[in-house]
Amino acid sequence: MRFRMRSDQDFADEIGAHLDLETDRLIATGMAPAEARAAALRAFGNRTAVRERFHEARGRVLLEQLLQDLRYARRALRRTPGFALVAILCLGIGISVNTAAFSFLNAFMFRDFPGVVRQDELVSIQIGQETRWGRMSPAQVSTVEWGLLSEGLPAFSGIAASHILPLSVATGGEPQAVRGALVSANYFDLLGTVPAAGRFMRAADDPGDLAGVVVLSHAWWTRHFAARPDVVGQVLTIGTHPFTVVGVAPEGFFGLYPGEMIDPDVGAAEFFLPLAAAPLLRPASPSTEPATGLDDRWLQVIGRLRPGATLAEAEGQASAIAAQLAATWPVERPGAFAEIRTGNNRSRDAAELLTAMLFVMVVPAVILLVACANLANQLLARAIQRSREIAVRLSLGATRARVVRQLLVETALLAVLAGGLGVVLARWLLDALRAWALALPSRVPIDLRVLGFTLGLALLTALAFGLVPALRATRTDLAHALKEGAPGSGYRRSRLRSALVVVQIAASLALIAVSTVFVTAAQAPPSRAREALADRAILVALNLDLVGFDAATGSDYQDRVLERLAALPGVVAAGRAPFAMFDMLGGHPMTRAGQDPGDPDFNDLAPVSGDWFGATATTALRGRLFSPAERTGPPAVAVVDEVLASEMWGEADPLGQALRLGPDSAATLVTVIGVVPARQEVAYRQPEGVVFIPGDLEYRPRTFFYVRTACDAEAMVATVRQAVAGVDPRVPILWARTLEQVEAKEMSPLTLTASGLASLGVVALALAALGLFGVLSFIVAQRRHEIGVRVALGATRLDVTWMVVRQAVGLGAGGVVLGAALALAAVTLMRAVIHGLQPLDLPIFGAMSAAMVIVALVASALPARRAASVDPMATLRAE
Amino acid sequence: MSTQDGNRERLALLQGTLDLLILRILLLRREHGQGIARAIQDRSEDVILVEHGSLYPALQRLEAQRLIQAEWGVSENGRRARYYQLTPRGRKAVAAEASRWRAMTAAIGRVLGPALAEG
Repeated sequence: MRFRMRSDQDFADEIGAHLDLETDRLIATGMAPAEARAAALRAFGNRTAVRERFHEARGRVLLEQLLQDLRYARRALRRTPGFALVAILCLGIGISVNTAAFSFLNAFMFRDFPGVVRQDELVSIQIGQETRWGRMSPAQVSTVEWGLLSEGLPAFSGIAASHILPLSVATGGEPQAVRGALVSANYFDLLGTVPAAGRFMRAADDPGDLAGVVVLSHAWWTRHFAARPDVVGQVLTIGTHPFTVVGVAPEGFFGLYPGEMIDPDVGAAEFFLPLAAAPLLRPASPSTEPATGLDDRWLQVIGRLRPGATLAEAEGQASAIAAQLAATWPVERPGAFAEIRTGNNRSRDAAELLTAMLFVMVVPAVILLVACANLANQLLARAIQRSREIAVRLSLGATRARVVRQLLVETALLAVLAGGLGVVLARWLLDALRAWALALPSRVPIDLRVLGFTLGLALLTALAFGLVPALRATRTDLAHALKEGAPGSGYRRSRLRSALVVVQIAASLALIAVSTVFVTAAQAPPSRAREALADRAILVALNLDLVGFDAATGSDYQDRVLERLAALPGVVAAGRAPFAMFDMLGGHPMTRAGQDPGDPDFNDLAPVSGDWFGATATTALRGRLFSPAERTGPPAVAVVDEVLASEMWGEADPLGQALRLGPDSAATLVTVIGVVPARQEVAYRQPEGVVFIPGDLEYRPRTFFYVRTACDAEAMVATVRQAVAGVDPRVPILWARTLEQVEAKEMSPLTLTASGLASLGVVALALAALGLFGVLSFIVAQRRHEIGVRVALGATRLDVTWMVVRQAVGLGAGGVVLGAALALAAVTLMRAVIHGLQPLDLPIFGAMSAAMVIVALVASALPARRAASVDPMATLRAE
Repeated sequence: MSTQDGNRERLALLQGTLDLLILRILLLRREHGQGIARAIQDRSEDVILVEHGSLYPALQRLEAQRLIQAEWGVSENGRRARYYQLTPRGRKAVAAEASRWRAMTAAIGRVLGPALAEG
């Protein structure tokens, strides 16, 4: 609108012109110039008021009022720095936890991953087929399909493939196991990644000479080359071959699949090598169909949709390729079909991740709620203290809306400051988590979206928890409030405040109670056998693919290591298995006598070599374990655990039963000779039926050696390492850990949850105690007069103290009752989701409840003393 | 909105009336703020006194409603002044408002009755 464009100056000019014209006119009627000027001014009236109305009309007024409110708020907060500090700290802590949690969500769900541009355009392309068990669509394709896909999908501006694999690299004499990725030459181009140094492989230089190049991760570059740019051209020995460094990936880059690229043991991928290097680094798969290579599904295929191309188009083209596959290879690819997965390649199971994150967001929300209850409580108390000031403002003509707005601006200012603090704390929290608890390739970023979330959250809390106090504060009976003292009105208010305190105590108690459930689960020894092993066992992890052993040399090497370990002084028993203590094994098809081979059961198959049962201190419940003679040659006997025994044969005797390990009649047949206790599982996982067989059905390059020691295992780790390295120094040891360490690592989700919940619970408890203290102090101040009268009428100090303490205990007890209900509900819910959690331990819960009440008592100490020291004469005289 | 200028008793302006008066003046000619104030005073034979300052928020309001528009010009005695004039919309509005006003004053007159109306 035109009038909005007018400047202050233009308006002032108009008023000036008006005054001049009027003065002129008055002079023309015969007035003296000075007198005429004065008369003109008088006739005009209040110029400031006019200018103000001009501003107001221009809409600038809101902003100015806001600024004025802000200035006023700043002054008001400065007058009470204690209140401001406590409020900002409480709310800041509450917000920081939420900001940190949201930052995770943001990093994995909303943001493009490090080094990836326009991630939303990226899709993964899969080729599925009919199988015995229905339509299956594995994430990887074979070389054959990769060839067809990379040629036949014009709807994509590019198709790239990658393969994650373990690698061994020689660094300073000792071989080191790292994670690497084989990528097609256009991989980085397709993702839009920019190198931190040097260059990436290029589509143009794919054939031949490209095989010998490597791109380093930023982390490796920093760690081993001090981020020097002259790293380009250096030669590294990876596996057994030399590779020339051509470039460095950007910081934090991990491709598209965090779950695969980041290994919990060895970290994120450090080397990116061309697909052409696959024959040098990747052992030939023991494929049953080597001629076509169709059984070897190893490549993960991603594509970027061409601008303007639709998903339907892309799906049509991919389906045509699938049809072609099905026609050419009806045996290997029956009913082949194509599947294009959008979901931004964020996570394999985005839904699961989201659920987990939302689960994670619940606790921060509780903390924020406690912090907000605290803030509301403080605001209510503050409103009482300021009732006179507010009454004065209202009586001087400020509208209620204006005063409410003023109070809200004050709360919002607090909240925004708290949000700032929250961001700083969240940054610290995220870095601390990354340093101590979680394997993340890069810092979890705090970007504009996170800042926006934090600001929004802060303002929302300010509005939600500042509005009621503000409305209450302005609902004052003016005449009443302006008078000194004004007792009585406080009771109604303190009821709300008491309720808030009860909620705070309840929430913090519930948090701590839930955390104890996790602590119990994390510490519970699942079996007596494990207890016996606690500090008497060592696990060593190897992957023989890293050094390119074939089945014969690999098996031979495994046997030699096992022999060497068994012969070590101080070793009681040594065994070997293709799984670590708590690994999930994956189902293997098996049938019992009389069962249709076409409809097998799937159960865990645990091939164990050497004296594995001895090394893990496993004893037979019934029957016997493998004899040394049975441990050599193809497996003919089996030991099952009690879970499988009851699943397979129910009440019948499992001993002597036959099991066929495979889908067809040619598969190995074994006889059950013993039953062992359920596999020592991690608390939060459901135990599953296991079949143990001596030796193995096939050669497996990934292998774990189990050593049981006579004395402290930790002291033996170095010896065991040496012994393994002594057999063949080229083989890198992935890790060698005591069983305790392995267990701690496996339990870390539980312990992390437990310690997280517990520390948040303590924070919440501190907030609650502060809130309780505030309410009690306030009540004492409000009842000062009443207390004075009581003392004057003969109440002793003890009576008065008891009065306050009783109130504290009452609030504490209310909190405990509500908290118990909350905790019970939460634990019931979590037990439904997480296996192995015990119900709430009543003695522990009782002790915690008592502790809560004690906290309430401590919080009441000072207010009670203050009440006891009320001088009856002074209060009565003040009337 | 009354002042103590002069001895004659003057009437405070009813809210909303000022807008109508301004529009009525501008129906005759384009005019600047001071001229409008003067015209209102003259035509009401000095009965209605407009505090000149209060004119400007009203002018601004009318301008925002697009009933009038303004531009800088030069007065008869050579001073720079901001001249207002009616827009076509303003012209329509003044007719409608004026007839409403007349209807209302007539109604008020009838309620008060002849005796009081004279007093």
